[in-house]
Amino acid sequence: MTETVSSEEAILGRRIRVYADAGAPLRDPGVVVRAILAKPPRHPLRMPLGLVAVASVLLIVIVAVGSLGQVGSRPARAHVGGITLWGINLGGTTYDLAVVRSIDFSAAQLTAVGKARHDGGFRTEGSTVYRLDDVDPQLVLVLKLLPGEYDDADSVGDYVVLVRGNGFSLLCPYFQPGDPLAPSMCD
Amino acid sequence: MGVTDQPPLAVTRISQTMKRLRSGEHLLDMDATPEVSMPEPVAMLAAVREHNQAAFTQLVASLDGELVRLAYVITGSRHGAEDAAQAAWERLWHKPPRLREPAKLRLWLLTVCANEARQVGRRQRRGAQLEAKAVSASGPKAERADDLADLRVALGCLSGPERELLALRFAVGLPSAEIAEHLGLSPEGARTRLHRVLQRLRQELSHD
Repeated sequence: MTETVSSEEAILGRRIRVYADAGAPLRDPGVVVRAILAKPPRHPLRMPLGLVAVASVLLIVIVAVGSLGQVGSRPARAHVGGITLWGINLGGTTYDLAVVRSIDFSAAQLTAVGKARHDGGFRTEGSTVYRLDDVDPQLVLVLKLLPGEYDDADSVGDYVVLVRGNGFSLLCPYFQPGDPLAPSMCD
Repeated sequence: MGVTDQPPLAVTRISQTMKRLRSGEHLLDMDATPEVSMPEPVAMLAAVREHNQAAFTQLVASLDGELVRLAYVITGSRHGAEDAAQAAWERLWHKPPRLREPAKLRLWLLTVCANEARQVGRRQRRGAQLEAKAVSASGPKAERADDLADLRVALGCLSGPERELLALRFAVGLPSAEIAEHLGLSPEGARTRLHRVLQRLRQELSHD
């Protein structure tokens, strides 16, 4: 594949490549792998609910969600079990936006129910909001993330959820038994 | 097959290429540096899920260089680059992603590594500056070392996402289409952003 760039840009590009080649260390793959195998997996957030507040998603504004289809408001702060969550007002209903790192479901289990717009925080895949299986969308909604989204602690995973009421308990079937990151009521 | 006055397609392309070169454009052939012969990603991801160490080592061998270069341009630090790349590999090994398109494993790794590098870069900013001074003062080829040190300082004036864009394009060699996908932009939007970042870098270099 050939891409056209200006002469000056090509020179700058080569300088960057030389800089990267000169500075970046060459590593022995075996050493890299042995270091990983010798280290236990990271579980930085063993918290009740296994959920973490998403403070960076301060400015999520729900534009329309399917049949709810109303304009949302800025999130309001809430505390649940010692964890700060950011409430999302959705058609007059406030949801908590939460990270669910180890939740286990496939994209085939999601049904689009509307659109959301956000101007900060995590990068979502498109603007669609999903219902998960037959879980009541009044209690649980799902946003798909672009790959590799991180918060301060670890990778966020492929999804974040909007939850209200007893929505957390409805998510229990989607965690592996004994998962330390599952909501505490799933134990 | 009849004879036509049209030149063969290959000749036309060569002619167009020469014209563009004469007009001052350079052609950056992305296939000219095919350092990455990545193993088949779908099978590789499945093998990693089964904790197949041989497959994982093969994947590290094929892509670690890219990850470290990417992270180095973002962090400006060797240690930071190693930490970021290592974190990406750890993430893959301990919690392999459920990619809707497993073929995009490489892009996923680059994204995770870039995110790690931005975090590492913020934590180690001071260390990176010290390292830049050391390279500038003690490089065996002083002129080249100074050039690299200038570039490092100029890159340090850019934002993390700007350095990430340059790193993906030039240190890793991703084409604009894949960068666009990474950034959630159109290919044209990615090219425009790249052009602007290069302009900024040029300005920073001219200040030195």
